[in-house]
Amino acid sequence: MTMPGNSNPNIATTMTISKNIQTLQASKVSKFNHMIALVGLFSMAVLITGCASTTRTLDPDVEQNYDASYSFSDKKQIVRTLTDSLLSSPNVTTETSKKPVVIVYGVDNETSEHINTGGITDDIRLSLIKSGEYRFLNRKQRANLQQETDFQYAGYVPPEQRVIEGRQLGANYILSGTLRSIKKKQPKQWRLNRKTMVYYSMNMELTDLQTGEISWADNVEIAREASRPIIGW
Amino acid sequence: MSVFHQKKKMGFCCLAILMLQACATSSALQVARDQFRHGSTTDALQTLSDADVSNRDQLLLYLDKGLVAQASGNYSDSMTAFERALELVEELDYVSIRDQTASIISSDWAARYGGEISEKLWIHTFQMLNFLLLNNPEGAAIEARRAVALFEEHGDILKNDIFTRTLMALSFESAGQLNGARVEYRKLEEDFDLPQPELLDRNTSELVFIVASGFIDPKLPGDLFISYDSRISFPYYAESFQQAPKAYVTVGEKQADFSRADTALVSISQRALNKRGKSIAARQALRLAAKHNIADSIEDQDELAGTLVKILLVAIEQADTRSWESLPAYLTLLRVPMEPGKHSVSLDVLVNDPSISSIDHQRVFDVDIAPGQRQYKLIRTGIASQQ
Repeated sequence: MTMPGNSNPNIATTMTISKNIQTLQASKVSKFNHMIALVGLFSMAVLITGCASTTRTLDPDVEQNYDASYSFSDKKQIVRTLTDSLLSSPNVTTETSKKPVVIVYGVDNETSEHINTGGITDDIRLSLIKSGEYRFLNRKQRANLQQETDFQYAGYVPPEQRVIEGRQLGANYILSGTLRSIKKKQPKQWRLNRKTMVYYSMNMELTDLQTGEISWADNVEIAREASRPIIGW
Repeated sequence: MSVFHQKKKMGFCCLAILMLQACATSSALQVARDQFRHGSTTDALQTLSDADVSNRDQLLLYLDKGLVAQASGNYSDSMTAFERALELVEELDYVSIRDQTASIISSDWAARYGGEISEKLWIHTFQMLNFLLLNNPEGAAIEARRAVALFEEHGDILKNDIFTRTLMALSFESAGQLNGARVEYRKLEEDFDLPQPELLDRNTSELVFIVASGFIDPKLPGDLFISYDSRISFPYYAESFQQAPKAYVTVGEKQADFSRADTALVSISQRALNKRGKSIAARQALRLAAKHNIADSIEDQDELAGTLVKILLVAIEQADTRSWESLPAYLTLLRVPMEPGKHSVSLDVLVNDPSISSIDHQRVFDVDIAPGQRQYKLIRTGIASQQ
């Protein structure tokens, strides 16, 4: 949209710059003053272009990394790789009549970043539920389930509408894992950029509750290098 | 004298005044620190929340906020402030042309404060405490790993911080990362002959007191006059006479045995400042040359103006004495083995000064500790109203 008159700050600034140039040309100024004026004009131009705030929508399926640290692209890669691996594993029976019941015990975060690993297990669980080959117990809601059942049996709910106790599913497997990282920075030396290298290793396993045997395990490795200038404004 | 010259002189005078104004830590920080020292933690927090602090002192604002919030028991607010401080430290981890230019023309006060290496470590130390006090050992272990990275890079400066190193081991142990804990205990044994403690098992319990006592000595300005128009100013720490506090723990009626780890924070800060000595000196030399050039070029055109500028440039040469002044003088960790169950535990912390030797702080805790559990208690002593 075009703004009329001088209400557009960019136009107003451009006019100011033009006037400055005319004034400069008209007067007999020294080379030094010319240089000062040029620096001023350059600074104004930088300010005009640099001060605009922007917002854009990103495609979560396209890899995006601003630096070497953990990002949503990494999470997506981890979830996709591990879900595919688990679904194609021959060691876990997923026949229609005996779909395995799984309880998630979370991913230990052994990195140097405060990463919410709950996001990884939530997405893996979602993908496996969508596949229709696994069933999951809602561990987080156990206390609430207990509370709701107690309420129903406290006399507020007619007997025919109460849930029947002792019908909850028992888990066949525990899903758990560990996210680790190794981060190394280049030592400070005479150079213009400093590199940082980060290696992430995400291990996940499915443990048979009956036997204690690890029925499936896999890992995803991500190694990344980023550099940032040592000198800046 | 031409109008141009008069304007130039006026301009330099104004510039000098502006530079002089820059040579002080933001007043809101000073007010908050005074309030904290006098026991008004709520007022100090309010002052820090309302503070309009210069960009140059932004890091100090977050550091003070984090520490005061922690001392008042607002661990979540403390974590947020320290996390912002860490982000800022990361942002400032480069050579800023703007800061370097400003500091070469005026003084180091003109640059944004990026924190000493020791202060960067203590952000992680206090974050570890926040996580442990909020019963989030995994978060504490993450901070411990960040601290490990600093020790790997600046071990020569930080090595003697036994408190932080013990806390790192405890953080790893509490998070169940026993290898990390054993490595840290082993390093402490190698460096200080400290016996490796047995890891907590299912039948034993432990109460850990974290005692933050007194206030760290501030940086002082030192001056070296080379000639009447040349002065070098540098920050330094005076010899500290503060001593580690004496502590006594009583469980029920019995005096309890405990192990302890102390760090005199000023000794670590001193090392960090000394390590930076070369870069401070290099900047001083550049600044001296730049100031002389400015003054000489003005003197060529107007002798009086040149002399005036020389005097002003000498006057604005001030050592950058900014530091995290709300830090305690000592951090002490007391590990008290406990029988599982309910206990009344009394902690007495004494000022370790032969001329005073009075009880500085006494508190009684009702502790209910489960088998295999480790509990943490934070005590801040040396604040006026608590004495």
